[in-house]
Amino acid sequence: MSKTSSTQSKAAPAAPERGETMSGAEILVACLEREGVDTIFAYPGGASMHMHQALTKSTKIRTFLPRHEQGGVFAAEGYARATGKAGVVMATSGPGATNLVTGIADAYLDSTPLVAITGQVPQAMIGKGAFQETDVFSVTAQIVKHNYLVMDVNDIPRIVKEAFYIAQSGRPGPVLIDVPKNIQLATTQPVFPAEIHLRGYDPVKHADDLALNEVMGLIREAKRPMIYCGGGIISGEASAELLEFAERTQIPVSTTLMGIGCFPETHELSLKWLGMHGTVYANNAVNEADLLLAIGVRFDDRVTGKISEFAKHGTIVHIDIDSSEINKNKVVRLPIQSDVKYALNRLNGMLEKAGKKRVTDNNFTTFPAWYAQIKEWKDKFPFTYNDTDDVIQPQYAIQLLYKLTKGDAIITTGVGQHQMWAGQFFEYTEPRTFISSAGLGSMGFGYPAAIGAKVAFPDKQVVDIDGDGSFLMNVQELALAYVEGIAAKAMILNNQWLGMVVQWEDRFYKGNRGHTFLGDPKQTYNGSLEDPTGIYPDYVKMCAGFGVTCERVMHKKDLAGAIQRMLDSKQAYVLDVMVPYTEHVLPMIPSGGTYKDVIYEGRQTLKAGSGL
Amino acid sequence: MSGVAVGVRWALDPGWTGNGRGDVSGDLGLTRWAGFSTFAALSMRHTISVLVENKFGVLTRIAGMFSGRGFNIDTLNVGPTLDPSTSRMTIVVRGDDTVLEQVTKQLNKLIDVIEVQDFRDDEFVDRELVLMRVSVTPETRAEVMQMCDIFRAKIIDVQHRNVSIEITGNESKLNKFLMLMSPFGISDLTRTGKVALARRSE
Repeated sequence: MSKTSSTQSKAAPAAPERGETMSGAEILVACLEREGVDTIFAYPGGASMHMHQALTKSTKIRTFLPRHEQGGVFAAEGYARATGKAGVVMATSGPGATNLVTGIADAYLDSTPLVAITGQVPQAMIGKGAFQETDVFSVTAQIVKHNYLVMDVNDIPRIVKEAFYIAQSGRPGPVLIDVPKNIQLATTQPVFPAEIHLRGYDPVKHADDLALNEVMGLIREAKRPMIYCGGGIISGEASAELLEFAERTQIPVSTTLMGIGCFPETHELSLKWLGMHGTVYANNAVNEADLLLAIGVRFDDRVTGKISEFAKHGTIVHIDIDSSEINKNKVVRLPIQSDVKYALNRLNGMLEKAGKKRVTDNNFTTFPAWYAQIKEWKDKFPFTYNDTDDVIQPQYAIQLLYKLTKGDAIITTGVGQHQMWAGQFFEYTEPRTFISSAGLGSMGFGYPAAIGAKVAFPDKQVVDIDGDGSFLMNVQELALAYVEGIAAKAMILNNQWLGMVVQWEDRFYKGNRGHTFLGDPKQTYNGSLEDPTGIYPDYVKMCAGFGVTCERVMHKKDLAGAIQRMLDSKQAYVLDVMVPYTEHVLPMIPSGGTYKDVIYEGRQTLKAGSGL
Repeated sequence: MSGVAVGVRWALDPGWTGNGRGDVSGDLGLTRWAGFSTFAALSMRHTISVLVENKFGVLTRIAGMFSGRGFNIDTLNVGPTLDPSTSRMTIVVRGDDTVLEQVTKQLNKLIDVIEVQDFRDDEFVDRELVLMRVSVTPETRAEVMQMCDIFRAKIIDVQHRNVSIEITGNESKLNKFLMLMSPFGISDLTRTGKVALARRSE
């Protein structure tokens, strides 16, 4: 179990470089430039303004001013998830720092590379209950991959270099650097290290061939094999290797929500994604497989349901770079700690040697009975909904968006029903095109994340599919989009309710409403397609206040034109699509249930309080 | 009782200390002792040794990891090593093999953790030091001193109504001594928690 000392740089030892005398804040910015940072989302305050002063002098870094620190950190996450590079966010001490906490926790659960920099009160004031003082080091200790409190201005170059390395290597994650104000002001001649020495951290993990040979043997004997892969494929940049592996072995693939896009959903072998609201066929196949290859996944409860029953009859192989994920939620037969790209590459090499040619013409023949069974499930249980003539169903809106974008877009989401439908009714073929708060489930994620993704890829269409509840949580970022000219689009599926909680109220609480209505109780919108009276809040007016165009769509016949106008716009743009609140996300496996408990259609009420 | 609690319970075993304040009266102590034996059988205790960077906040990270993930520390001891840039922690953790596997992995995941050793069976020697104040009367003082002799404990302070005792040893020796002292009345005590060292021939 022991970790050995290691020097991460493989090249010949390079000499550290000495810079000119400058302030701690300037050193910090110089370090960010050295890490190749081009974008930072930063909200200033008393304890961080010195760093902002330094940022104004940078010609390499563009600073974006979010209108709330949470918007800033979600935007940084969106940037990171779209690019694979660490997103960078900065905030002042106290409330600035605590407003980052949700985003940091979000990045931790979704393994998003993120570097968060916070101002701190001067060292002499620490612990005195100073104005805007919070012990952000302790507050974030359990939701970061690592964090630092800078105690000496001379440490800044080393700390920043380590922070980016830790955030982006191995299993990525958030790293926080807390910089007291006196350190920002102190001057020194910085020494920029050329190498990193972290004896307690060695992220390079390669599977040994013995274990991979074992996998080959298991594949040879399998009759009903399945690949269950997730966010690890995306962070590990292993999509191409996965595709090759699937086409060589001819094993069907199901992803997790985090893994959406790591394998093309339009591919013959794709079963889309599994879990609570995933496809029935993916859940059936994974649970009835005799061999389950779990790659870059963590057996999350939203995927497995009742863990002891999950894939009970199959042999499970688990490949992950993080050893602590292995045997954490599910004890597996063959655990392999490895970078997934390396492991898949090696396996592909072994398959080639074994004469397993890559099949690219969809003519898969290795497991005919298994394919037939999956086909039967696919035909019997497609994603479906009852469409209506004039009323816009939320699923329809997403399908139409897919049609009009031809799938060529980065989609971000908030959290709730719309998030699941955005996963279900859009087909993703490329990694990093579905950006969603999966692990933490942070409402308000969608629009700032869209801004971050759009900043990273200005030429790409970026659309936030959102709910009215989620969108409102970070609506202030319309100002960032407007002021900076970021053409991030939002399509709000507005049902005036907190849809997912309403769905659970219907299922588990006999429809008793517990503060899930988001509209105006004094004058409730009656669902009329002609009369918008009572729709609350009025997003058209609100967006106008921000200088952003917003169009409300009530009729189905108007939707295609409206979506097209949104897509054609060169500016931030919001579509407020009115949808009924009565729709449920189906299929649904009640939490703690097994794949056999799936509700595919209908509205049966379930026992109250069955799990979370 | 606290066996399933989340968090760090410093150096106090639940059996004989009862309310955790260490002010158990004599005969109560024996009752608690019996309770402790039953309790100990419920889950295994493991000794792990963790070499960490001697850096700001490292204890916060480790203690927080235990509480955040619902693991239970029985004792935790931290001290410097020969290398001033590192510290060694000896942690006694309660749980089955699955828990221990996760504890070890989660510790290893922390950037400031350099090495984790999981001690089993005979691979290590361990000791703990206890300081305690035991009530005495002119009638019982001699008996207490005699027991100290037998256990190679030292009397380090003497007052009219009590004596302070220092004793070092492994867990079973200390528990036995504490059990024998209980009837006299242990009015206060403090334990270092276990420290351990691997047995190696080189």
